[in-house]
Amino acid sequence: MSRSLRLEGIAAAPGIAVATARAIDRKKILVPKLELERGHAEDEQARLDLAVADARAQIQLSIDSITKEGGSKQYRNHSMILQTHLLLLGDILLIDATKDLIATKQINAEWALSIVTEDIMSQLSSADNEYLAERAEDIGFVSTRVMRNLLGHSEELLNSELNSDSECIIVTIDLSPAETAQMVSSPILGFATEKGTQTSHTAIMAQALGLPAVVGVSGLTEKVNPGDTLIVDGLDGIIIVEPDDETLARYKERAAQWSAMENRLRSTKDEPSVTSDGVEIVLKGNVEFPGEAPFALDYGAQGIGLYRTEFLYLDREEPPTREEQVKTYVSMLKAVSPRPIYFRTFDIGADKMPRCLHMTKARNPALGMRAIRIGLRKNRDLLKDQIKSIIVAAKEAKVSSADIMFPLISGVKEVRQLKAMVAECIEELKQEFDGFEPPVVKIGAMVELPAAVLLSDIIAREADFLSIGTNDLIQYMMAIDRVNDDVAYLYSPFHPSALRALKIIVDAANSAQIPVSICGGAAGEPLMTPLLVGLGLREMSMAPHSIPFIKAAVRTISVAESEKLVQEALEKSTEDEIEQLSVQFMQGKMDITI
Amino acid sequence: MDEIATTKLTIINDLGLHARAATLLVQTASKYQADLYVSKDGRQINGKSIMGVLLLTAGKGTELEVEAIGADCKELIAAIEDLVKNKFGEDK
Repeated sequence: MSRSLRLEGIAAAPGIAVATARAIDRKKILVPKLELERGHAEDEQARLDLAVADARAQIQLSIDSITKEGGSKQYRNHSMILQTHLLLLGDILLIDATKDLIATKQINAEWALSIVTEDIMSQLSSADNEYLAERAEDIGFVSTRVMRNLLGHSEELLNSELNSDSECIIVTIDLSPAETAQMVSSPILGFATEKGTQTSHTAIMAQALGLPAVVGVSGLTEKVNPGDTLIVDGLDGIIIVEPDDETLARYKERAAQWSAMENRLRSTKDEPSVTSDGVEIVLKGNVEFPGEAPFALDYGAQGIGLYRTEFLYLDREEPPTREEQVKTYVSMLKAVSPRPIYFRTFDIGADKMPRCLHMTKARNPALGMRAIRIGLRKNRDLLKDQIKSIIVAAKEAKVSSADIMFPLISGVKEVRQLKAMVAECIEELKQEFDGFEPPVVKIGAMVELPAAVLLSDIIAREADFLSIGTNDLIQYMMAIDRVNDDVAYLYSPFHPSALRALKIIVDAANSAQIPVSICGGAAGEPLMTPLLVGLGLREMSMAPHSIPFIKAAVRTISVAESEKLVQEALEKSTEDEIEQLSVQFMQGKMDITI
Repeated sequence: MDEIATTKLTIINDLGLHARAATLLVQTASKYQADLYVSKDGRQINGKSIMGVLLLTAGKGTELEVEAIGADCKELIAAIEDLVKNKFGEDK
């Protein structure tokens, strides 16, 4: 008997995967949900008591070990937090309420605990009080501990679940950047998440790793049990749970077709990326970890147009030391050399908030202390350490220049401040190391705020290069939150406003005679390729797996006809018309059927 | 019939009934036999439940009505008054 189930979500990374579901989530473990047979409520309640008693002992053990450490204020505070956790463990609103629910609803302890916890956490989170919202974490912590005891898991649950030997598909609410970072080396075939959009972190990671992903699948974790067979169809954005034999066979065939096509495209690796009228379009890869660099090169990347450095800062108590950064950057530079790397300084503060900065989460983080704002206003040393590390790494790796690009530039004042900061860093390095001769340092401005678009001519006069981040640019132009599925429909690189913005930026860079590249999701969309080429872009950076597609697109079009296409597109009034125009243009040119 | 003692208190420590203060309040209340109920704006919670106390979201300046029911209710009220008055031992 099959209980085959079809769930729809957003296609976030292409490909098809068939494997066993594996649940991971620090915050919300996939909870087994069982209705009890008559007369078993008391057993469940006793099981809960046991799990709570274990949790109590575990916490007491931590308190004892802290008390042994001594009586400093820091330890006292930590001990107090654990005391609060002990009280939570005995709380009627948490434990007694769970017991009541077991009896009244006749459900298992895990399910009941998850309902009660969620209820309390939502009350705390909506209390309109930052402090209490944080306390929701304490309750989550205590509840998770009890849950793990119920499930018989140890503390190392997360790691062991992340790193398993058998092939699997990750099923979860949402993945944090830190969690995705740990997954690079395990045999994961695909992702399915409840939250997220096409430009969310999970999607970007999945694309980088070349793994199929479907995100924004509502009710996913409720409907999938660990161990279920899953199909992730990252082409159509569909998840199939426990497929029947016929469906399974159909998808296996589709998966084979897909990988055959991918291989065919990948075989274009050494072919030049040149338009039919002989103009070179440089294609680079966006990467996050040094481990991804070989993949990018394998896909034919001519360099790294966006190296996201945030992961170094995530999920740790202290920011990375300069030694650690230099080591990472050198290995990255050596892996890619002699091809260039654009280092983007840490873009943290929006959807990625590292613990080590001890910042409180703002209500609207995308509009708050983020990226260079942190480095210019809040923690200069943090940014200076990164700049110095990049410069030292470039020197050590003996590359021709250190290319540093700064995210979230709003005007030329910030460019000047950052240039001054780079100069300051070089001076300090000279004092630190006798006879230090700095490499050439090129300073790039990311154009991803509407303000920067309008000022791109002025910025272009003072920056060494421009890089267009279309994901953020479209988000800020359209006033849409990238992690909010409800407004994702407004996100389109074909939007007439996006096209006009791109034109302003490219024209500005061209008249200032500095390089301009594009590194957002739009660069990896084959239907955007003729528009980007027609606008005058000659360098694009994208998720590595997109490079073969874009190269295939580039090789079929000419600059002359692309320029004509852009003329026409700029006359159109809606994103649908422009997309349609591009579809017509590409029809018959590429024999890629997805 | 159980004995009842009541009092009205204003939270005067800077951090309000945050986790540490709430923990102290619940720990203190739990030493007494009497039940403790705390109300803010007509919303009543069990004073022996940490979650309840946290959910009161009583910041600095909040007025609370406190009611103790049971044999040692007067002592309990006095202990709670002491805690609040001494700002839960909050460092200045």
